[in-house]
Amino acid sequence: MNPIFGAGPSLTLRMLFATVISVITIVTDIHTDGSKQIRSYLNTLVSPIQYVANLPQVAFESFAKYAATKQSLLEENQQLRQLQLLQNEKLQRFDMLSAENDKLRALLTTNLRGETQKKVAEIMSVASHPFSQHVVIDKGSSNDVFEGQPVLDDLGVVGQVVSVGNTTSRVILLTDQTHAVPIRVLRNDIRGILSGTGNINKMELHNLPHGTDVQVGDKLITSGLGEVFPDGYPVAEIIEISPDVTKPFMKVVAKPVAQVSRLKHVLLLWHEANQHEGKGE
Amino acid sequence: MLKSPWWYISVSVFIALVLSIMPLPLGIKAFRPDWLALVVMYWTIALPHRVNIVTAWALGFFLDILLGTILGVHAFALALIVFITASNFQKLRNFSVWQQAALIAVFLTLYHLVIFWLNRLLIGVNFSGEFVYPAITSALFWLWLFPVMRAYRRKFKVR
Repeated sequence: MNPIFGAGPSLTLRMLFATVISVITIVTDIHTDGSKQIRSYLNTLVSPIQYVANLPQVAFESFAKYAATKQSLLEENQQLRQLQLLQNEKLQRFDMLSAENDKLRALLTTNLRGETQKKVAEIMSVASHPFSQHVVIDKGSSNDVFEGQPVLDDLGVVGQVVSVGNTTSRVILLTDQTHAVPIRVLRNDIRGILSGTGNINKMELHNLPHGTDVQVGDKLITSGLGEVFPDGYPVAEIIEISPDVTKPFMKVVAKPVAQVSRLKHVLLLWHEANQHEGKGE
Repeated sequence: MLKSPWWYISVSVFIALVLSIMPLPLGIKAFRPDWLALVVMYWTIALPHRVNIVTAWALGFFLDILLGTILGVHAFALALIVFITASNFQKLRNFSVWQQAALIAVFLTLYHLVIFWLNRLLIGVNFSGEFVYPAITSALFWLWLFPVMRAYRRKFKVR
């Protein structure tokens, strides 16, 4: 048998070394921007592990496709046709409204709302630590994904891209404790900042003075002020208000409209201001 | 036929990393065993001259990237418990697997508390008992993992 610890530094010295390195990496990761670049390389490095972990899910889905009966497919097809019909009708009116809105905005000499470019990404079923609510998607810098890119699902805002690898990227969800999004109330344009709590169904609206006109059921939409999310996408709905006057501010709890816990596909947005930034890098 | 011992260690570590991020149903997600910590601790007890603090730190760093946590948090916690394991590997070897499992529950509780404390300090997360459940499931899984890993090590004569 080899002599144990015969060569090399002692255990305590190694531990000391590990501690010092840990402090350095933690501080670098939190306080500098350089770590984003490093993370992007590292994400590319670990993506094989993510693909392997995703395999059972892929296999299960392809099996489910294979096993689907003709009957259920026909039914699903019919449902989707009906849905498409209904949505097309809405879309017809939307085109008209959007043209009208552009004209009105032109009259008011405000900026027109540009069209956004979109791409669908699939969520890889890869777990994250309970402290950080992240998901991994199967698009990366090779698909022009950039950091800070807004991510939506069919109902509302999901989050934004935090780090980009070559073929995968990591999306931080709205409900993560370290994430906040500038919003306004759809009903009366009161602005605020909605931050995540770490609970997948709960977000909090901070620093609203007592007596602010908000109600349970109010819809909150992005205000576009942070310049990350474009203006006007649904974010959350207020579910609880506790006007405790002993506290300096009201406690307002909202529930995200996107189905954050059961995401499968998401939309990545390229809006014009960001596009140059994204392509320029 | 016989490859370098590092090859066999890497295979087990790769499987552990995949299991650490494999999706689980919501109900049992909080109980996911710390596969990586278990495998690294096994190798530390079995081959302390190969796998010890520096390896553990590097693998913890890998886990940080995979889980999207602050880089260095898991690395430090894993290095710390492997430091404790490596300093006592001779005692641990002589314990029965049940005694080992009990100690591993203690070590992993420390591991999760260290991760929590660092996160508390850095990004201000709130404590919930859920964070230490994995320590218990990991200890139970050790009862199964230890014989399996020992058979693996003996079969391929990893030294």
